[in-house]
Formats: sequence, C-alpha cells, structure tokens
Amino acid sequence: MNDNTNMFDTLLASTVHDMKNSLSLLMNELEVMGSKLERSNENRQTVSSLRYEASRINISLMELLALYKLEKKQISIQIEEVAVADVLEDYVAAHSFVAKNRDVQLHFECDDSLIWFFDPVFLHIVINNIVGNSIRYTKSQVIISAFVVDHQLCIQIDDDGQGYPEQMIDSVEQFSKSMDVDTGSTGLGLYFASIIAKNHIRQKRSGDIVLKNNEKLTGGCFKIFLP
Amino acid sequence: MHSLLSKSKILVVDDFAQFRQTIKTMLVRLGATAVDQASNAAQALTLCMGNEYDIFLCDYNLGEGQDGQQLLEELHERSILRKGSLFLMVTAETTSAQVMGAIEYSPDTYLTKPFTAEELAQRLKRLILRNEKLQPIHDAINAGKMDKALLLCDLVMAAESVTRFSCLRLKSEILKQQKKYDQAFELLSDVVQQQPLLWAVLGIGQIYFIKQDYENALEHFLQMRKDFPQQVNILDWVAKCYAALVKISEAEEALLDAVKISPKSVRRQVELGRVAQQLEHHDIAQKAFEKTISQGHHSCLLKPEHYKSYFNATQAVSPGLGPREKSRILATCEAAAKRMESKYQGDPTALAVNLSSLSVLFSSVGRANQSDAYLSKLSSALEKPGCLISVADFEHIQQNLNKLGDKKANKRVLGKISNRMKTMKEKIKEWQDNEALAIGINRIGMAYAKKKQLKEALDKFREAYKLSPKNQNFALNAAQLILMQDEFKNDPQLINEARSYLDTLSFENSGAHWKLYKELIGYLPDE
Repeated sequence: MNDNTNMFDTLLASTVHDMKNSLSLLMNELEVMGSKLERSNENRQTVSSLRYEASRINISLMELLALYKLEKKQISIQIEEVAVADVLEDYVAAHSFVAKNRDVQLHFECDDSLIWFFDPVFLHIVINNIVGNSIRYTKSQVIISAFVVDHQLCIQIDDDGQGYPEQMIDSVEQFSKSMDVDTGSTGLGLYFASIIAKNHIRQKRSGDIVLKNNEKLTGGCFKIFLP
Repeated sequence: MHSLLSKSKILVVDDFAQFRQTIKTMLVRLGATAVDQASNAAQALTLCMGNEYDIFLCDYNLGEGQDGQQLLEELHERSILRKGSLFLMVTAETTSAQVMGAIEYSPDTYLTKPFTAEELAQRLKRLILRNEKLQPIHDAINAGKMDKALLLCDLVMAAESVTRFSCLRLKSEILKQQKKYDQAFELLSDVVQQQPLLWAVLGIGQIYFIKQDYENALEHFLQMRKDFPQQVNILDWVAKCYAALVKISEAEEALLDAVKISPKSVRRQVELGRVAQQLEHHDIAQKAFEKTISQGHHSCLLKPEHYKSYFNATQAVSPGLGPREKSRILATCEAAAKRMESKYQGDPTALAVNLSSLSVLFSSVGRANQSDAYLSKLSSALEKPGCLISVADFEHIQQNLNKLGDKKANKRVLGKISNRMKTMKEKIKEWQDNEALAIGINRIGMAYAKKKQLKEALDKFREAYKLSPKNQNFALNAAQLILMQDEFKNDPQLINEARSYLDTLSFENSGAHWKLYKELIGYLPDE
C-alpha cells in the first residue's frame, strides 16, 4: 500500500512538472506574442485573456498540489524572514502584463524597511490568486498594501469593482457558498488562503483571512493576517 | 536593469532545451550580453572550470544525474561560488526543492515556473540591489578580512534595517569561522527568541556539536526534527551526534531514514556506508556505496577510497547471495570498475589500491580470469612512475596480494608484483626518512621567510620539495613565496618554476590549502 502511495506521489510530481513546463511555454509565448501586437489590435485582448486563463490553471494546479501535500504532511509551512516590500513588488510584477492589457492600475504600498516572518512560497500562491481575481473584477484599480496592526502583518488587496457578495463576507468560513458556476469561482482560492493563514502560528496565535467591502477603494477588500 | 545585467556573466542550466532558450531570450531582452547554457550539472561544472559566472539560473529538476541542489552544493564545495554571486533555483512546483536542499547551501531565491520576463527582471534586480548593499561585507569576507567584515555587518545593518537578518546571518557565520563560538551562540539565540528561523536554530545545534557537547547537540537536533519535519538533513546531524556518542546503531537508523526520503546525497550515502561497515552490516554498506558511486559520478565528493569500500563491501556480501542477484551486483561492479579506471587514469596510486580490491573480489566469487585481468592491470599501475603509495595503501595492497596468493592467482604476475612491492617498501622507508628531513628543512625555510631572507627561504623550500615531492605543503610554500613577493614575482624564470609547482598540486577539497592554491593560480600571468 505504501508503495502505491509512493508511486502516486512520484507520478503526481512528474506530471505536474511536465504540465508546468507546458504552461510555462504557453504563457511565455503568449506574452511575447501579445507584446508584439499593437495596442489597438483586437487580437491583443484575446492573447491577454488566454495568458490570464493559463495563469489561472497554473495557480489552481499549485493550490491543489500544495493542499494535497499539506494534508499528507509532505510539506509544512516554513517561516522565513521576509522583506515585505520586495515580495509585494514581485506580486505586482507577476500581474503587470494582464493589468496593463485590461487598463487596470496596479500598485503596492508598503514601508521599505518592513520585515516580517512568514512562508513566502505559500503566500506567493495565495496573493497571486487573489490579485488575479481582483484584476478580473475591478473597474480601474487594484492596490496591494501591507502594514503591521496589533502585532500582526496585514496584507490587503483592494479593488474598485462590485465588491464581494454579502453572504460571502458574513461566512468566509463556508466556502461552498462562494462557488459560482457562472463566474468560475470555486472557492478554492479563499479556502487555500484560509488554510495557509491558519497554519501560520506564532506565540499561540494563528493567522486568518477577512473579506470586506468599501475599504480603501469602492470595491472588494481581502485581508490576510499573519501573526 | 539593462546596465545591471550587461556586466554579468550568466549560466542557465535546464535539461529542457526550449525552456533554456526562453530564459536566455528573456535575459537578453533584459540587457544581458553573456549568457551560457548547460543541459545538466556535469556540463555546468565543465563550463565553470573556464568561466566565472556571476549569476546562475538553474532548474531543480535536471533529469538523470545530479539535480540543481546537488549542483549548488558542488559549486560550494569546489569554491566556485564566491560570496556575492547569485544562484536562482527554478522549480516546477514550489515545494519539493526546498525540502530536499541542505540548509547550509540554500539558493538566493526560488523561482517557480512559469514566470514572466517581468518577474525575472524584478527578482534579479532585487537580488542585485540587495547584494550591492552587502557587497562591502562580501568583499571583506572574500579577502579574508574577518574583523572588518564583522564591523561592516553592524554598519550595514544600522544604515539599512531591511538587511538586518542577512547581516546577522553573515555575522554568525563569521563568528563561527573565527571560533568565537560563545558570541555566535548568543547572537543566534537572540534571533531564535524573535523567531525560530531555520538557519539560526541549525546554527545553535552546530555550535553544540563543534564544542563537542554531543549530548546537547543530539537533544537539540531531535527537537528540530519535530519542529521542522520536512528538513531531511537534520537527520544527518542527528546521525553525526549519535556517531560521536558511539551509538552507531542509532546513527545507522537515522541515516537509513534519511536516504529513504532523499537518496541522492553523496555525502549521506558515504556516511551510511561507513557506519554500516562499522556494524558489519555488509548488505547496507554495499547498497550505500553502490549509490555513492552511481550518484557521485561527477561529484568532487566521490573519492578513490569510496570505490575501495564499494568493492570490499561487495566482496563481503556476495557469498550470501543467490546466483541472479550475485551476477547483477557483479555486473554493476564491473561497470563501476571501468569508470574508476578511466577516472583515475592519471592517478596510478588510486588505480592500484582499487585494482587490488577488484582482483580479490572477482577471485572470491570464482571468476579467476577476471581476477587475473585486474591483477595484470595492478601490476602495470604499480610500474608507473607516478605511483606513490602511502603506508596504509601499501598494507591494503599487500593484504590483498596475500589473499590472492592463497587463491592460486596467476603466479607469474603475482611474482612480478611481489618484487615491485619489495622495492616499494624500501622506497616508502626512504620517503618516510626524507619526509621527516624535509619537514625540518621546510621549518628552517619558514623561519628565513619570517626574517625576510627570501632567497634563503626559497632555497629551503626547494630542497624540502625535492626530498618529498608528495607533501603538497612544500610546493605550495615555494609557489607562494615566488608569486607573492615583489622581489620574485617579475622574474619569468621563477614564475615558470612556480607554475611547475602548482601543476603538480591537486586539491579536490575546499579548505585553507585549496583556497591558497586557487589564489596563487590567480597570480599566475597568462601563458
């Protein structure tokens, strides 16, 4: 039985490796293709959408794999010291192509000297997903900000779209409610975010996520707290 | 960004050609001008022999052979990575590489596939800028000015609070290197109190170990094992502590656990082989050394004695095996023997030691013809002028010859070797006398050098070298004196002499001698 599990793990790892290589090529080619097209070219929009969809597949793939491995205790949260402004800059860089093509302003706000302790690898997946969705639903702007409040780091993502539905804000725990076949939202992103937040434990406090509307901007606001 | 990258020499390592090309295109678009490519670790290492790279972009998964993490370790071991060069590990999925890597050798950052040109640019820019802030410290460390480096750590940290933990980590490394263990311990404990960061917790354990407080070290690493369950290499430290406490069975158990999770580490397989040998668990030792040889093919960690251990362990297990398994391990041995012979073509000593083991192994399984073939090769290895055998190696070969004598090996060859061994024994006696003499002469040379009587010093080093060319210190001293003194360093004849000394030297390891050797090579003008 043990051998079967090992076989499956190996198969999973190698298949994911292979899929990611394909996705990598796809995304890079689309990016190069898109950057060669004139801004007015109608195909540019299509290329940008394809690029965005590819990155959504990629993020979901990573989330599923990470959840599987967390569940199987093959990986755990690895806390490092992180220069927060640096990683926010990374998040912006990862999305700037799609944001530009959708005429969305994307920027971050954070004190340059802020250092915090968390797992940058997992946070990268969490924030990428949320920012990707925000860009999709916003009208014109997305702001990523980070600051310390009540001895916790808060990373916050604001947009000026329609905001989160009320029932989602009230029961962020019950993610099944956020499943919406029409928009393609499965709740995976938020579920993943909350699992990662809860796994960040420091001095007996664990992290959490909160949804709000109308905070910095007129749309939705996602907050993840890391002790 | 353009100007930042245009000065850098970059190596991209990936087994996937299309991906290599994509990254190269990205880099060139970002302003890079010198980008080389390698498809595996062996190729990368070969390229590193002739080039000094500032930035490595390396995929973790490199197909067959060494993976990205092993390449990183190899670059450290061979002192190819300077403080201040950058290593970016590219991973398909975020989690596997982190888990497998030795904490001591972590890359500067992990990049997860797929990434955009902009992300790559961002990451590189940040690392280069961070490095610029730390540059003065790195320079001081690379120049061996440790006190200055310590001072600079405090200054940089005060000026740029975002570098605080990088500086603290560097500081702890320097303090450890300076053997200021109590200070290092205090610093690391402070960090851990704020947050139990892996490098700091590990550092504390290492200090217990260095101070030979093995009980506390063991307790510390066992606790770490619970706190960082994914870090396989903590098990290596657990095993080290057990071995130091002479609890060999426990050490073996820890290493067996570790190789189950991650079998690729050459060092780990060697350790396992050694403890299993001590316990006379020949089957475990045999498997461990077999892995050592196959994984270590291109690694500087693979030493001639590992082949010896492998052949000996194979001989020890073979009587208990069924015919099919026996022929499998012997076939593996033959293949390894072939690689060993080509690897040590220029090292007749290593050849002789291993050929004697091979001959005994094949004689013991009843393959007299093969045994005799290795015996003939042994004979010709011993005839080679470069064959300088140490006392221990001599005894090893002699013992093997005795065993073969009982086994009706080829009498003619055996007789020839036996004569050769007799002369060698006399030679060894002579060397031992000469070595003692040479050490004395070398000491006089050092005293001259101290008094700035450089010509006299050089003569003494030459004399010591002549008496005992095997002792690398004498050649190194002579070369150092020539290349680092204004009085000598412009004399072409002396430069050639220094070059000839350096040519005779070979260090595979890191360490002070290796560093000096590399530095001296740097002083040599181009031919």
